Formats: sequence, C-alpha cells, structure tokens
Amino acid sequence: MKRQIFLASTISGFSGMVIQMLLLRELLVVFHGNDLSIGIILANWLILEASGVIFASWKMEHNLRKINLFIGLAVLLAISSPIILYFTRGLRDLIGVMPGVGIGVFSIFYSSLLIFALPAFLHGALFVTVCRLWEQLDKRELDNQPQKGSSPVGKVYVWETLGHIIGAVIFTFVLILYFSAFEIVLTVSVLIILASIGLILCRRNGKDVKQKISIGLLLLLLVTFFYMIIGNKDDLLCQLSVSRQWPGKTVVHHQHSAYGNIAVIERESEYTFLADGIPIFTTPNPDIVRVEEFSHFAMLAHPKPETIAVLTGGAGGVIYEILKHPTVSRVDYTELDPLILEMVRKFSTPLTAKELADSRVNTVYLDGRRFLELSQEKYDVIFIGLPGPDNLAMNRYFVEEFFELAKTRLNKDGILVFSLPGSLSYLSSELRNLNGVIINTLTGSFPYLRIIPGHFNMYLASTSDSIMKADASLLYTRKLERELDVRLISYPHFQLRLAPRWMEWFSKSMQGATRNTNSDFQPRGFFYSLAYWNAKFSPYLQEFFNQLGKLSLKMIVFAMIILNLFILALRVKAKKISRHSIPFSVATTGFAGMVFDLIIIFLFQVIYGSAFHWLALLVAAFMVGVAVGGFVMTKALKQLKNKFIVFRRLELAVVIFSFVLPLILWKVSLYSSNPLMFILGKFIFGIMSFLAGTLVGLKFPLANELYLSNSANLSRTVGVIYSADLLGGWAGGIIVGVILFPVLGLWGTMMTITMIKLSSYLFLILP
Amino acid sequence: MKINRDGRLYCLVHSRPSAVMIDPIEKEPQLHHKPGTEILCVGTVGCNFSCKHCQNWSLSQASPNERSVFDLSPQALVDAALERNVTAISFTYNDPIILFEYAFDTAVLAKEADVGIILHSNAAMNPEPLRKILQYTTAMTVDLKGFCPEIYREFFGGDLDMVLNSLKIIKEEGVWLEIVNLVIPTINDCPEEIKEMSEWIVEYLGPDVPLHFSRFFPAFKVTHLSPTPIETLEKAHEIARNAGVNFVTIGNVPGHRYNSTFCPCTGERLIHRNHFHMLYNDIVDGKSPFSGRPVPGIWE
Repeated sequence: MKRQIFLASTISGFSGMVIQMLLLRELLVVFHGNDLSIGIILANWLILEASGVIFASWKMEHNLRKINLFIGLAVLLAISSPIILYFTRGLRDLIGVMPGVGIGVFSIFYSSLLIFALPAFLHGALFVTVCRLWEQLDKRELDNQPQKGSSPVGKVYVWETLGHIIGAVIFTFVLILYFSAFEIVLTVSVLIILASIGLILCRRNGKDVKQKISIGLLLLLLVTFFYMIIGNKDDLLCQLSVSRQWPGKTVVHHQHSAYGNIAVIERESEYTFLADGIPIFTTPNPDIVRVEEFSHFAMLAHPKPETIAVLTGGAGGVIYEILKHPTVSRVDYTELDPLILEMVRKFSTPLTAKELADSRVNTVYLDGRRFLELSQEKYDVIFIGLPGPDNLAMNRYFVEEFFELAKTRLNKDGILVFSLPGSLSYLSSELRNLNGVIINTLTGSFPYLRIIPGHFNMYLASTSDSIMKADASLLYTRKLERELDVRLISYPHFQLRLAPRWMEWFSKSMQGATRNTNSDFQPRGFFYSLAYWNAKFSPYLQEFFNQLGKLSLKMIVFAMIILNLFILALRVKAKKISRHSIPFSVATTGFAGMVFDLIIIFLFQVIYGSAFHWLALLVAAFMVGVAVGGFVMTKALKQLKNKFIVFRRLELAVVIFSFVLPLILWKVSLYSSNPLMFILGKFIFGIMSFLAGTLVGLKFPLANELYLSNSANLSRTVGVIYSADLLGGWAGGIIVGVILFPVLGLWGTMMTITMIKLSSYLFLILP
Repeated sequence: MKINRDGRLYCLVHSRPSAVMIDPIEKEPQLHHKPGTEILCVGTVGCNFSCKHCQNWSLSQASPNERSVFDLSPQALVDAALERNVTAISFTYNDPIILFEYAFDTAVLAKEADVGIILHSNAAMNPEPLRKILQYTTAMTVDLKGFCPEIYREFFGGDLDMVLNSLKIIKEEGVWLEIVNLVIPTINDCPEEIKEMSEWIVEYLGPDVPLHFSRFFPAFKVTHLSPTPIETLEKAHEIARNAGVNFVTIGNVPGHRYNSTFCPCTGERLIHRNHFHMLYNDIVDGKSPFSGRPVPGIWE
C-alpha cells in the first residue's frame, strides 16, 4: 500500500507539473508572451490549487472512502485535461474575442482562471487526498508501534515534489521537443489512470462487485487513451483545435520548440511565421516600408558597410535588403530558436532562399547578446531586430550593459540600429517614457544619436558624428553609387522621412519623458513597455501604471513600518492572533521563495541570454531543495526539542538569504566574461536555487507540526498551511514580475523581501 | 467629447487639437486631388468608432483630459495653412464628427480664405450635420471598412447602413469623394463581399469614384493577424475593376504597379506613384492624354 501511495503522490506531482507547463505554453500563444502574462498564469494556477486544497480539506473530514475520492478526482483530471487543452486553443472564441485581436490583463486573468479551474483545483485536492490516505496507513502502523512527531503532510510533500521535478525535467528535455501537446496530455492521463488502478488493486477484495466495476471502467479508460495515442487520434484533435485557434486560416505547421511555439500560416502563396501566436514576418512579401527603412537608412548612413551583425529578426527581408549593398562581405545572423529558420527553410520562398543561401551569411543559433560577448569580430553595423523591450529577455538588448558591449564591437564609424514603437500623430505618455528611457540609456554610451520618427522610431547610434551628416542627398547619392534595386527608398522618400520638422516635433513631444535609464538589474525599459502594452488593452489601468512608475524603495520602507506597527498593535490588543503567526510566516516564505526562484531565473536570463534550457534545471534545483528540506525536517522532527526556536531561526535564515542572494548573483554577473566563471556561474545559480528551495522546504513540515500542535484537525492544518504557502507564492508571482523587479530593480526587490520577512519574524517573536 | 452645461452642449475639443502635422496629400489618400502637394493634417482625441486596428488609437481612444493639446483656434489653423501654402486642411487621425463644431468653424473660414478642407471620415454621421459641413468641404476620404453589417458592428463598432447613406449624401452634394477599404484577412477580405461593395459603389456613387484597397498590418489590438497577402489585394482590384469601378489603386505596398492611376480606356499609366510620392502626372486639363477621357478629380 505504501508503495502505491508513493507512486500516486509522485504521479500526482508529475501530472500537475506537466499539465501546468503545457497549458502555460498554450496560453502564451493565445495571450501575449510577456512576463506579466506568465506571472498571472502561474499565480492563478497556485490560487486554484490552493482552493482545491481547502475544498478537499473541508470535505474529507468525515469521508471514509478516501481511495474512492482519490480515484474520482484522478479520473476527472485524466478525462478533463485533453478537453481543456482543446478548449484552450479555442479560448478566444470561448470568451468572445474576435479573431486576431489581442487580450488584455483582465481577460488574461479571468480566462486563465477559467482554463485552470479544473486541473489546478483537482491537483490541489489530490494532494490532500493522498495525505489522508497516508494518514490512514500511518494510523494502522501506529496501532502496532506508537510513534510521535511524524507528519504525513511532510512525507507526501516530498514525494509530490519528486514528481514535480521529474515532470519539469522530462517535459523540457523530452516531451515538449518530441511529442505533440495532445500526445503529452493523453500520456499524462494514462499515468493518472494507472496510479488509480494501482491504488485499487492494493486493497483488492475479490467479492466486492463495485471494486470490479471500478477496475473495469478504469481499464476501459486506459484502453481509450491508448487507442487515441496509438491510433493517431491525437493528430485529429490537434488539427481540430488548431483550426479553432486560427479560424479561416491554413496552418501548415504548428510546433512547440524549447523556446516557444512556432506556427506557419499560408494564405494566397504567402507564409506568415508566428512566434507564440504573434506574426513575426511574412514572406515573400514582407512589410516593405519597415524592412527597407530598417535596413537601408543605417546601411546608407555608413560610408562603407562591410561586416554586419543582425541579432535576431533578420530572416524575411532584412538580410535580403542588407545583401543588396555590394560593400557587404559578411553578415553574422543570430537566432536563438533554430526552429524558426528550420521552418523558413521548409516553407521557402525566393526571398528567404536567397538571403539564407548567400555565402556571406553566417547563421548562428545563439542568443545575440551572448554572441557579441563571445565574438571577437568588429562590425560596421549591428542591427537589433527586436520590436522593443517587450519582455525581460528582449529588454537585455536595450540596457546600458548591452550598449557598452555593442560599442566595443563596432568599428570606427560603426552604427548600432534598432527600432522602438512610435507614432506619426501623437506620442502618448507611455510612448514618451518607453522611448525616453532607452534614449537616456543609449546616450550614456553613444555620443551621437540619430532618431528617425515614424510608426516605428528608428534609432541609429554611433561614436562617430558621421551619422549626423547623413542627409537626404548623401543617402540618395550612396543609393545610386551602390545601385540598390529597392521598392520604396527614393529621394523624395528620404526627404519626407528626414525632414527636420519631424525631429522638431519628436523633440517637443518627448518633453516630460522619464529621466530613468534601463539596466540589467533595473529593467525600467521592460516596465515602460508593459505600461504601453497595457494602455492598448486595459486603458482603465493606465493610472495605476503611471503611479507604479513613481514607486520607490522609500515608499516601501514607509509601508513596511506602518505594517509592523499594525502587527504590533494587533498583538498587544488580541493575544489570540499569535496563532496566525505560523501561517503568516509560511505565506511570506512562500512569497519570498517565489521571488527567489523568479529572480534567479530572471538574472540567469540576463547573464546567459536565455533561461529556457536551464529553466527546468533551475526549477528542479529549487524543487529538489524543497524536497530535501522537507525530507530532512520531517526526519528531524522527532529529535527536535524546541521546534519553535528552530522555526524562528529558519525565519532569520530567510532574511539573511534575501540579503546574500543578490550579492552573490551580482558578483557572478561581474565575472561572467571570464570563461571559467561563465560555466561556474551556472552552477552557482543552481546552488542558489537549491538553497532557496531548501529554506522553503525546511519550514513547511515544521510549520505543519507547530500548527497541528494547536489543532487536532489534520486536514484543516494541511489546508491552512499549504494554502498560505500557495497564496504567498501567488502574490510573489504576480508582484515580482510586474512591480518589484522592473520598478525597484534587483536591490530594491531583495530589500523588500528582507523587510517582509523581518515583519513576519517580528510577528513570531513578539510575546 | 461633448458636455452638457446648463442645457447647452459644449464641444470639449474645439480649438484643442492634439495632432497637427504636414503630410503629402497621397497619405490621406486623396489621389485625384492636386497630386504631389501637401496638406495640414489635424486631429483631436476621441472617435465614434472603436476599430481594433486603429493606427491612431492613442488619440482616437482617449478622452480630452488624457492628452496634451495645442491651443489653435479655427482662424489660427487657416493662418497656418496659408503660411505653409498647403493645398488643404485635413481633419484626420480621428473622425471629424467628434470635432464637428471645430471643423465646421474652420471650414467656413477656410472657404473664405480659399483654403481647401478635407474630411477623412468613417462617414457615420447623421444627414443634417453632414449636409451642413459639406457646404464648406472640398473633398472627403471615407473609410468604407467592409460590406458586412455584423462585422461593421462587432469589429469596428459602427453601423454600415448609416455609412452607406452618408456616401450617397456626399455624392448628392457634389463633394469630391474617394473611398478607402483596408482589407483585413479573415475579417473583410471575402471576394463576394468585395464584389458586392464594388457593385454598390458603381450603382449608387458612380464608376468614377476612386477606390483604394489598402494592405493591413497588425496594429493596436489586432496583434495576432497576418498582413494582407498581395494576391488578395490584386484580386480585390480585379473584382472592383470587373464590377465597373474605373479608378482602383492598391496602397501600403510600395512599388506595386497599382500604387498608380491608370486610364480606364487604354490602360496607360496616368499618374505614376510610389507609396506617398508622385513621380509624374500625365493628366492634362483633367483628361487622359491617351484617350481624351475626362479623369474626375480636383487637378487645379
């Protein structure tokens, strides 16, 4: 029986992790893949899981048929998961959003709640059910051999966490790369059914007809799921769901890669390539205005561009245009996700075939910033083919650290080129701040900056003043000299786009823009981009974002002082409140744990370019830490004499960790250019992630034990403590990605965590 | 955009434009209207539609106190137009119905000063104010956003019947009219719908009203749609020509042959354009030099 419960816990953890990660990826295709969406999605999973825990805790007090309940919940999860995946792809239709229209914060919030309602709730409820099964088993053992201090919650937590770890690693390195979404979800369903059968069989009673019927039904379900996988019915489901996702369009390819979802739509002999649901380019007829202006303004501003670097976004027209310049001898083109170019080659058009087959083009599958760090080449023009600092990964190309790096990789007269959202009618405060923060940052590294305002503001930065002299006649002369065969660029076009009146208007419109700068450890650019995105989809939150931009550490300190005074007053007035200091501590630790985890991932991304390949390992290291911490504490509980003192010390350890963590990660970033430190640093990140998890894991069983000592009700204890942990994590997930890290930066965020944990420590130690 | 104060309705955006720019007239587009000249473009906040792909969303979807403004009276606008020697003042970016009183007051003064007035509108106006302002209007560019009432209501937030009625009124009043149709994949690119629209234009507005099919690119809230395939635009062009529309162009595709205007009789190129730039204009005295056929428009 014990083995079957271990297995059920592990499969429950595995299924929860795989379903969560799969639906997260699918939802990012429906929504917009910025860090705010990810924060909301993850946080909603946590809150729904917590509600499942609470619900099951209440319902299970008097329920004697715990195995039946487990099987009921498991079967519901197994059947509902493929259905939910199907409806996730048709989510726009379901919530009444017209095809092609993006979704705002509020819709992201409620629709992810809708999608996760069943799986997250069921997963939370399964956790409590397994705890109760374990408790039943323990009670039977206790009758024979009395024990003290052994918490079933702690044990189940460890096995469940092990399932999470296995799920995270297998999902990232195997499932998502080699299997379709429906194959994955149906396999999970099979595992859940197998776990249920295992539990029934261990309590086998040959005379029980109901049991036989249950086994028969479970076997029928198992065969059905197998048939769907082996009989390729998952393909049919995939086709049907994809056609719901992109109604009226021919989706010729749809695949998850390690880095996201890539889809290709064919319409009237044109291919549009989409990354996480957003069109990134169309061939063979790109946006001619964008492609020609982006390529040729900079190329013509340079007297003789020979070596070029295109950091993402080169395929589909930009490289094609660059290669028209006869001076070009080499184009180093970086793209992080190999699947994008694999698809471009698969759905080849004359334009893409020409640009990618050219011998001068050197394609590198690497993060562009990392490429520049590793490369010793110097370039005449460096293009950043990103739309702006839309998420933390993209933000890394618009920070002072990157601009300094780019400066060292440019030849004399070299030009750094990128674009940001703009307007030719009005610059809203969001646009002003977004452009302003990047201008402030850029001018710190480059003395000469040429801005060409438009629907996309073009930025040409250089250490040479030659870009300032590039007027319409000079550009046109060079165009003629280089015999460029183009569709848009002409003398009148140069005159129109470079007319001084535009720059005058732009300069006037930029008055009142932010004076902040953008850096790796204080990604303000991402924050302003988020505010701009929000202004489009959720204008009712504009004022909130405006005020958020003014948030400072001083305000946080003030708020924390008020909070602590409030806690103090509460403790003096109501002594009974002290009982809540344990769940409060667990909630703040859950909050801190989530912040540690996310900060580690964010900074890993900042230093190493992408956290995708290491994401599972970092998450797994955190989870291993949680499991080890939980295991060690569960084992040690029997020997601990004063559990409350240990709990308080652990609370202090979290405070110290939130102070030490940024120092260590900051040091790693300082030495990341050293090859040895570059490799060693990754392991340091892993170790820090493990330690963060260990701190959370150590506290959880101890908190249960302390809270249980005041309550005879195990299920309610599980409910309160687990929910407090998840609620804290939920708040951390939403707040850190949107408010703390982008606005306050690394140091501000960690100072805030330190203060929050000091508050919960104060709550614990007050008499 | 209006406020009721003691029983009187006040226009909150009168003399308070948020955008004032000089642009080529081709950008409007007004392709049969003094090609190669410049216009003074003016817009305020607010709109009566809520198009999910609006390029000027930061103005059109905002309220008066949310955006900074210029202090420009109707007279100041006319003076600015005269000073810069532009062909016309164009009320664009947002719909002129929002700033009706401002546009009307300016139009009256502009007519006196011999400055043209262009209204770029979705034409969702009641007949009375429309007829009133048309008395002082030189030309109108109307965004006919499709021909399906449901899509009109759901995607653009407007009423197709009202727009069609306005188009008939503009024609009746003799104001120069050009129509733009932004072709959005899966929203309004159905060939049958384009055919129906073209036939309606020929029947009610006449075959000589220029019709411009424009390429869509993701904008504002419409972030998940592909750009319009060129072939779709070329098919739309063909459908409209077959339906009897004489002057059909394709926009937002620089370098495309149909950026230009062709003689409907001989197929010769009359006005050679690339994007917003006129390269040459062969029209002589309002007629095609190849066939002698009159080419309607405002040429002088």
